[in-house]
Amino acid sequence: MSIETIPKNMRGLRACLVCSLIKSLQQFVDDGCDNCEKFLHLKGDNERTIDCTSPCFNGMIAAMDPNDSWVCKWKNISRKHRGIYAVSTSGTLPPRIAAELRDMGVRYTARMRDATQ
Amino acid sequence: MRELDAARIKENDRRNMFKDMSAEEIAEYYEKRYRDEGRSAAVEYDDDASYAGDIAQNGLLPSTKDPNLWILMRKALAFEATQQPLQIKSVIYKEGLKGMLYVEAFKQSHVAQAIDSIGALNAFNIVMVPIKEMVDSLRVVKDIPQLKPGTYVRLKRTIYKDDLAQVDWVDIAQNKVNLKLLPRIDYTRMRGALRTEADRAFKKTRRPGPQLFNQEKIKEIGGEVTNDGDFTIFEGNHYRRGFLYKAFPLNAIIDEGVKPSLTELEKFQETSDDLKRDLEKTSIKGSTTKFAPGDIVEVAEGELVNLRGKVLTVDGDQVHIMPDHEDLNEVITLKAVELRKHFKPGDHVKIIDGKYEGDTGLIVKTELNEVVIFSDLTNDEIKCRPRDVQLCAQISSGVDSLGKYQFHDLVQIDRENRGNDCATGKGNFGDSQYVWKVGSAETTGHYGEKRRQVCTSFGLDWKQRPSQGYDQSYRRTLSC
Repeated sequence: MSIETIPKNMRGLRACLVCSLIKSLQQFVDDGCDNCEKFLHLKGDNERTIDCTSPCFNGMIAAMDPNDSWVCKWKNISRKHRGIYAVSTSGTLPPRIAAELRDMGVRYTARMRDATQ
Repeated sequence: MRELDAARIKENDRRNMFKDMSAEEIAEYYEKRYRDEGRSAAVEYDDDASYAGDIAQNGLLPSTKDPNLWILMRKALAFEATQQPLQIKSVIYKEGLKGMLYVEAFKQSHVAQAIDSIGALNAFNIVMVPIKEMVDSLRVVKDIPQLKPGTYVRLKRTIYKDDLAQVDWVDIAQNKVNLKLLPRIDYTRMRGALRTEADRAFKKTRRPGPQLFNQEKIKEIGGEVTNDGDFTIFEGNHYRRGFLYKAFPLNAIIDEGVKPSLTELEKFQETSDDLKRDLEKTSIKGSTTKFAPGDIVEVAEGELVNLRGKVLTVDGDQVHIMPDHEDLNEVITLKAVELRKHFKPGDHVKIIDGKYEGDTGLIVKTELNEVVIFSDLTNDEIKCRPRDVQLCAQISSGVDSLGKYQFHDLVQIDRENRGNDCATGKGNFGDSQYVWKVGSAETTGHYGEKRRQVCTSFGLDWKQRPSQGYDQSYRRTLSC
């Protein structure tokens, strides 16, 4: 997308629990999650952002060309915007929001998103 | 409470949504939803085998930290505008794998080109990752400890170092955890107005002993206490029921290998409602179970978990069992810690420890850390831990440990009440279920004298004769 998608610095980073995009908390609140804004509505809502993103994540993937990348396909981000994604996130969406997503037909599996052995 | 609200709101939302739809629409909605879900599961795991080798993944050595990843990313974005966009597809940084970055690209030259001008990244060693290993390189082993409310942890630092604490709730978002601990307040040091010079100079050389928060003592030394709902606040800390509730960062606590000792646990549960219930939840590894030959046991840990067997001999810490499995017929030796007693409903057992020691009964129900026994004496259901129970053929005779009182003795519990001693377990003198229950009173030793008076009870009168009726005066005395 743009240079805006990349986190500005290293501290206070959070990963979106739905798509694992990484941005700083402030960026999430300012712009929402590039991939999930349509149904997550994080923009402007500080508390919701905290609920739907997690500071606990492992590893990072800088996806320059998600369409063409095997890595991105493996992590299911090949249809998503360019940016930095987490390899694995910890934390789950609050049940209420998970239910909202389900009702909207969005595929969200409550997962730790780690590929454990 | 928040959860309740959330649940209620969810219900309302759902109800509103369905109100407007007719039955068909609802059916269609559900069908669509579950159909999609089914399909998605199939698509999820695309296997890597399909990728014949078009994509090469390269590892670079050495690099420093994550900024490199971003440098690359920014470079890519910057180059995009120009004629020659960077050809790399992605860059991956695996946590814990220092000194290395993965770059994904079709050709090695692309990789070289991308990292060309980046100082920190040196293309000393561009190695291509074989396809088979591509998946593994992305695997992350879950290593985040799953802290649940109720688990016991120990603190690494502060004056509470090494103290046992119980998790109250975990705040993953803030990487903090609220813990319940025994406060360590120095009651000799004056606070606030009464503070003297000497006290102010007091350093943390000696840390006060752990004890429950005592409001009067605090007031005595001049401390200020305020109330905040259920909590008492003193010097910035929240106290409730004598315990200190405080938030600590996740990295300041140890949760692995925490073995609470029985005394520590007892102190913790002093003010809480059900000691037994909490004890059941935590597996107390400190004190080991006493096994006896003939016990049926089950392996609780390790590779042989769930294997059942019978104890042959006990040798201190080591227990020799004969496993109950067709393939195994050798004696296995295990540590007492790894075993758990196993009972099945219908076993006749004796309780060897705890509140009901000495009592015998039949097992009615077994659960992981709890067995329910139907007592021979009281005909009550008793719950206890498997480690306190032993298979036994005898039936308890009902003689009190003190030796003074026996089954069916008429004793005086205190000034006003008299009770018919119908059960002697360890310190449990219960009145049986006649018309009124006087209640059970624990024996404290100084119990009261046995009264051989003119009082009659229902079954027996004072001379142990079956009674014909009952005494009115007795009735009055007993109704309390």
